[in-house]
Amino acid sequence: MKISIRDFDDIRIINYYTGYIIIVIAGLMLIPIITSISFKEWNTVVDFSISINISIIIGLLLMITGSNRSKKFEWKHGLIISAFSWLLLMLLCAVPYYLSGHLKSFLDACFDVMSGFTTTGLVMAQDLDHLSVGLNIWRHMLTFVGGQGMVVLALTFLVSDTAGAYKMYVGEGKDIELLPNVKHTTRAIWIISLVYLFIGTFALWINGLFIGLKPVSSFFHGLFIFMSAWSTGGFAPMSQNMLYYHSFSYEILTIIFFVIGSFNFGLHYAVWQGNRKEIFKNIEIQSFLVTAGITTFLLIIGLKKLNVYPNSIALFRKGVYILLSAHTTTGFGTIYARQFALEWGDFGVFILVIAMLIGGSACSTAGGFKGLRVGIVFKGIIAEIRKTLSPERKVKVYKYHYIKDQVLNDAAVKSAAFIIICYIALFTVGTAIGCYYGYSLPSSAFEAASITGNVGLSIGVTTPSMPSLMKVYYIIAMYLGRLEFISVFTLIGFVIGGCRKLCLKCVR
Amino acid sequence: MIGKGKMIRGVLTEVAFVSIFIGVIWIINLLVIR
Repeated sequence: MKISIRDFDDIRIINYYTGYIIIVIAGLMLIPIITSISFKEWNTVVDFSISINISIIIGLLLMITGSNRSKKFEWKHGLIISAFSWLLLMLLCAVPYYLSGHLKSFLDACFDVMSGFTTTGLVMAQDLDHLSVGLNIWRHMLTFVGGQGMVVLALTFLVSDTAGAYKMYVGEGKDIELLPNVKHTTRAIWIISLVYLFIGTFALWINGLFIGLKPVSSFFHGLFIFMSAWSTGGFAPMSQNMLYYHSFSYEILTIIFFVIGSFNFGLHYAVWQGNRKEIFKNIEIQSFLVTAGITTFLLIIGLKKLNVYPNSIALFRKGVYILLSAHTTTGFGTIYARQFALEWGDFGVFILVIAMLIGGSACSTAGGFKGLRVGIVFKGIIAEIRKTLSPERKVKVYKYHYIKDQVLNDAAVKSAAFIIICYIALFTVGTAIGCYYGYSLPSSAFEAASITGNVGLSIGVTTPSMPSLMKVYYIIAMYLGRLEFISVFTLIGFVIGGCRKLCLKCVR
Repeated sequence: MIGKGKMIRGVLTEVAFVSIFIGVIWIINLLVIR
């Protein structure tokens, strides 16, 4: 049987939109180029000039070989485009990292980029304190854009709303429509983020001046830290992370920004529209308050028992700060990595693992199971118990509030439980791989939870010298955790199905 | 799309909410350590 051009219609539509997304993200490289020129960092200018050219050429090639009219845009296209563009972008955005000479290998560069995109925040780059301003702005931009979503950014620039826009938007792990039109929804997401970017950078800049940073340096530190905090990323310009600043007020400001950053964009939009009650009624916020309250209480008890921190201020700045950073999947740290293993004890590490796995809100910049799913499964269990205890003829409809009142049906509970099971499986395999390579069980579990939940706290396992297989698994885990499985599974299914079909046709 | 007034009130509401949350956590922290 002959292979016709119609057989490639799916690929053409995927190519077209993937190319479009790549070109939009490649355009972002102009910002580090301009920054590097103003700071006279000529090596960085060359690195980014090479990278932007490669990215634009690949993006254009994909668009030329693709078509947006070859076939009706289906759900599978949206999911595959999101998953595929993330993979390609990882490779392309790693080029300036690799050329900078701060990374041991291209795999390490890919690790850092995926860590940025997925707002994880684990770092492979060496000599972080001497990175150029251009590369630093690129790292933090990746995490800021990754938090909102690369596809979300690309859709913002759409001239007209296409039928497939919503499908691509969902493919990136976001499902809430703030406005009836996807283009307007993505623009609303960016408006919310940019308003906070302005406020947050200004607040941190002023704070930086008070702790002795020079005006320009303070501005960039403020900008970088805000980008990381808002996108619950965890990157920082200095290798000591938040410990570098030694400032209680800086820490309080970052807590405010990363907690707000971990909220659902739908919630931001509702509150900004004047619906302030939403903040108290929303199932995700209720879930977050309960789980954050319980885990904080348990961690404080655990650390007090071991007498790790002598007073309440130290306990708050080290213990509570890191717990909230872990729960919101930010990953900012105020202690050194090995202190978790050496000082916090197994109970403290266990509480952090739980907090990291639960994570922040759905349709936010955060990772983890998400408060929404924890809330739905919990309510599902309660509803099931009540049903069992109530008379057989009595039919009661259970509801939960998530932007609007929604019926708690079996499909919602099943879907939430499915994603939670996938996360647990990913976490378990990550822990097993860590144990296989000789790391202790608490260390392996801690790092696996950090990777799976896109947190970024490290107990000391993630280093450039770790085994390559672990690096590859961690990249896959970050990617799956961020895109919430379905898109990636669809991409894998599409590739396997396509290869099978092609082989069968060739054989015939 | 979103008016300036609503935007400012929205930001203030969210910041106030999180500040209260941090305050409560701080009180829990104080009570437990004592």
